[in-house]
Amino acid sequence: MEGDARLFAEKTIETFYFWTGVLMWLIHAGFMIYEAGVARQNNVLMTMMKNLLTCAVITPTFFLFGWWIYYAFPGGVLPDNGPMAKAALPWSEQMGPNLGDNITGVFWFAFLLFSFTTGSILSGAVIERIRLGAYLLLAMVLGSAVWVLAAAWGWSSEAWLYTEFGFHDWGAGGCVHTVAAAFTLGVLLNLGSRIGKYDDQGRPVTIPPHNLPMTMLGLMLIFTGFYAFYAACAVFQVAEPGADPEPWRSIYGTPMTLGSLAFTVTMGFAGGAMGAFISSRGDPYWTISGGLAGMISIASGVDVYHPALGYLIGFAGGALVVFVGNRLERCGIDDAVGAIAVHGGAGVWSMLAMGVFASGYPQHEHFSSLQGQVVGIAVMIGVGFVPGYGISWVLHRCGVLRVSREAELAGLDISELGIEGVVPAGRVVEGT
Amino acid sequence: MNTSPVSAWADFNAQSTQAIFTFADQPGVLYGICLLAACVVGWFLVAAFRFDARHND
Repeated sequence: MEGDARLFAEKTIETFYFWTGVLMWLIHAGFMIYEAGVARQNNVLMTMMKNLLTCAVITPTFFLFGWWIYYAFPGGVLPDNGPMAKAALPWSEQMGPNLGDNITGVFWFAFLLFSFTTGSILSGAVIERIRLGAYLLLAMVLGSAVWVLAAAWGWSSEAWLYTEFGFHDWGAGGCVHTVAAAFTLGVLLNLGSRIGKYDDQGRPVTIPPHNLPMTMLGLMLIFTGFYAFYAACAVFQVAEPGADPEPWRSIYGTPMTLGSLAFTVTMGFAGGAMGAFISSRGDPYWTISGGLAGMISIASGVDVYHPALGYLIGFAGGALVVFVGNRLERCGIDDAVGAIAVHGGAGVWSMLAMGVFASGYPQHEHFSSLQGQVVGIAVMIGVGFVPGYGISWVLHRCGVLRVSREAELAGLDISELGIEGVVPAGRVVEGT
Repeated sequence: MNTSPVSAWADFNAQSTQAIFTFADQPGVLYGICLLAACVVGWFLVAAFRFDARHND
């Protein structure tokens, strides 16, 4: 009977993580719709193609080396050759159907969906002028190597940021959102702004979304998928025979509840939308982006915040990202979707808030601290920015980062795909 | 500053440890946070009335 109970529990774990991965696809359906709504009409199809191919290119590369990076680099830059790292190599027994291992495949799948998210954060910022090949190379590096290295360093109980500094980033506000935003900033510095984004005096010109309702629907799907993202961050284990029941645990091993997600993620969303509404003076785009910023702002400390505190942290995060987004725009950074502000601004705030409001929280023999969070912020920004800037600089110097001026003016749907993604209503097309 | 009632790893195993969230053992602070959250909601509602009227002129 005890064996049956354990088998049932293991199957439940396997099923749980499998479905978190499936539901996380909603994030990518959401990113696709959201970014297509922001793109101008002659770039819609290419924007959606980039979202689609983000998932395609990251999947095999994450299988081939991304999963191994997570287990091989918890101690820093030198790879570890321990059993966990060996088991993550693509030719190991665990990396395929294995009757003795119910969990590796579904964990890999959940992590893969996190990887897609980092690529999708990059994809929106660079729309309408980046070359498809350059984008996919950058997305592959970000999704299958850069963020995974950051996660190895700060998002496990073996990670050196945790063991040395007590770094606590429960929902990956640092190793997913901040890293991807910093990488994106590095890329944008080399890519440059869209033609027409700045006037002759260098003042920013608003390029409105071609379909704002579509963008808002996309973000609603992202919100839905984010619950699965956070649920996948919670560790579900089976107790040893005769031991007390195992609680849900954070990735650092601290006890937690799924109820904390229900409370605090939702309260963070509400606070973020309200904060952005007020600071943008009711702008619809920023208001809904603020909802996402609120959900990211609470990420690092979801497991420990009181819900009302989560609401206030989300509110501050939502208000902050409007300011950061406008500031970046005035500095000449043309981030078409505000990704750096939302994911980077709220991601950094998330890690900082954990240090401000929950320093001293015990994590085995380690304790969270403001100092540890600040070190984590610096590492996450550096890990993201350096490769993003460096690789895009090389691509820029080789002349393969950006499409030609003519292609950009024509729109990438026609110039790169040869078809119009959105045909104006009433147009008669020859041959039909 | 540890705002959680849990200050040591052993506290997690104590039967008496249930609420682990920030300020769970400081009800006065929690009242204050909840009051502040209510004020923010009020601020938001006032802002909503102001912003939705600005295009009516």
